[in-house]
Amino acid sequence: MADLEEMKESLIKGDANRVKELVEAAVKEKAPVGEILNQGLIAGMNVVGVKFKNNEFYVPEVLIAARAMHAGMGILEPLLAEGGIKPIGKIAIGTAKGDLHDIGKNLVIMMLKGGGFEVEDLGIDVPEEKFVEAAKAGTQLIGISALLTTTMPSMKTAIEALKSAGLKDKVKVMIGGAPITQAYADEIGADGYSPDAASAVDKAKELIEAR
Amino acid sequence: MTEREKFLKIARFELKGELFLPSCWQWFWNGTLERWRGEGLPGDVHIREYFGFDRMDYFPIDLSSTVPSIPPFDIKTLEEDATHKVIIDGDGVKKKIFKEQRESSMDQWIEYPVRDRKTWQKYKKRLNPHSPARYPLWWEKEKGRYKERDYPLGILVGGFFGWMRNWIGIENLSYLLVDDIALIKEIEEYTEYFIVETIKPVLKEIQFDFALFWEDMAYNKGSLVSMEFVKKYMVPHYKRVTDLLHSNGIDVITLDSDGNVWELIPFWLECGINGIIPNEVAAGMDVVAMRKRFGKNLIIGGGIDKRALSKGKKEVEEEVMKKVPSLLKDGGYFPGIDHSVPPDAPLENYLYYLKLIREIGS
Repeated sequence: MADLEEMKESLIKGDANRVKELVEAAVKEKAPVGEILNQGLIAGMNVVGVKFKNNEFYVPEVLIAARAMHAGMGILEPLLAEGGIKPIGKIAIGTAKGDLHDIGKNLVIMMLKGGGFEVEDLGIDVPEEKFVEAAKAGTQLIGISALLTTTMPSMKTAIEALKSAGLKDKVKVMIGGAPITQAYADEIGADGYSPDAASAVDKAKELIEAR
Repeated sequence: MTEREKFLKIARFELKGELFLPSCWQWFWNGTLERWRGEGLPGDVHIREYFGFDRMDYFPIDLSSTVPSIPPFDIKTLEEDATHKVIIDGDGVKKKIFKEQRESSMDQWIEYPVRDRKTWQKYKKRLNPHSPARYPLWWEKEKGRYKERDYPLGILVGGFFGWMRNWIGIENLSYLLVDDIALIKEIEEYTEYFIVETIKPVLKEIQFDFALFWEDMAYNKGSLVSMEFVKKYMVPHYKRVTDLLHSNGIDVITLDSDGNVWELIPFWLECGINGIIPNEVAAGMDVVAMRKRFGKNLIIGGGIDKRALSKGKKEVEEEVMKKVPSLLKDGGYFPGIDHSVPPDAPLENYLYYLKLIREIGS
């Protein structure tokens, strides 16, 4: 019988080889794909997220766990559609125009994928038009990160572009990054702010549910 | 009292209520200076002299945020479009950079020179501490002028996380912690050997006033790596470097790290590192609370919120008055904006900030 508890624990420990083996075994045993995903992989990443928020885990532990998640998803991903498993939401995320720093954004992407979201990585130095295109293409949530105070104003520009295109009511915008605060998010009309990568998953769920 | 004496007395909490504005501990974006020139800053001045900073200097061996590869890698442009370039820089890092106003953002680091044991062995060859080119030109003849000085002179002493992260990248570094921890240990050991061997000759010749480690190992949430990592893989190496510095009469040992460094400070203090800059407010640092918690065990630099400068004089005054008077009166504090002064800060507000801290310091 598929050992989803061991899969979850191995993922938390970041043992990518073991996670891969366990996912392969579970698939071979014809365990339901949704169970493998939710009770094994996503359950493990949820624990990683909580530990990260509580300062029990640091960035390396999260990256190592995300690598293990990726190893498992490599086996599982082709089977998700067959199993009728849909992501819990679709997010397009990029760094603010003028900002090339992407470590924070990449960490948020890993956590969101680990949380069961479909994530479109828009990359770095993303112009407002690209966020508008993503919204037009049907993304439910847009995430923008900025490392520096110098690039923060581009977040406001992106939100204004969404408003001008008449899309602001159709898509939620979440922002984050070193200099960002809730007050700044309120000031520029963002729907949400997350202080860290793990909280971004909770905030994304909250915003998608509120749509 | 010379600038050198004043710096040391303040750093040692012996001189209270006095202001020393360290010229090396305040940075400005180029975009800020461009803006200020439009607002009346003369274009033909040394800005630190113009703003009345106090002279301090580092001995010119570059062990700061980067350690030069000697010989350097050939700088190459791999791709280019209207606004960006992808390059290999002199340290062997593949980066995406802006073609213009590069300093307005951090570069995107795409690929690092050290990826495994083999690439480390190759890279290490460029980190020979005994390369004559690490020392300034005409060192033997030049050293005299550093001995006869009246300003504080510091020595840069690198770091045990920041450099490794720059060589390997945080992602690969994280994987190596699981896949090849022995390599991480080896790199840390070599880093210590490299720092000690590089600084030893000059420590014999010159009496320094302070040292500065560079780490940049935190972000707005806290340390990038666990305290277990710090304790196990960094503390022993710090201690051997600080022992060497102490045995050469250096008792002001500072460290530069951006981000929220609260939980790291006790470890650094344990290692003999007794000063922290720049203490970013946006990341959660609070210099008044730091003084309350660490008292006279910790020298503090910076800590004035850069964001106040863009808001207005009222906000600048509030920010300065809630911090500077109480900290200056104890000594052990060097006021400064908590990182580079950003381009959204009007010159008028920056001058007002300087006026205020001078009034308090006088």
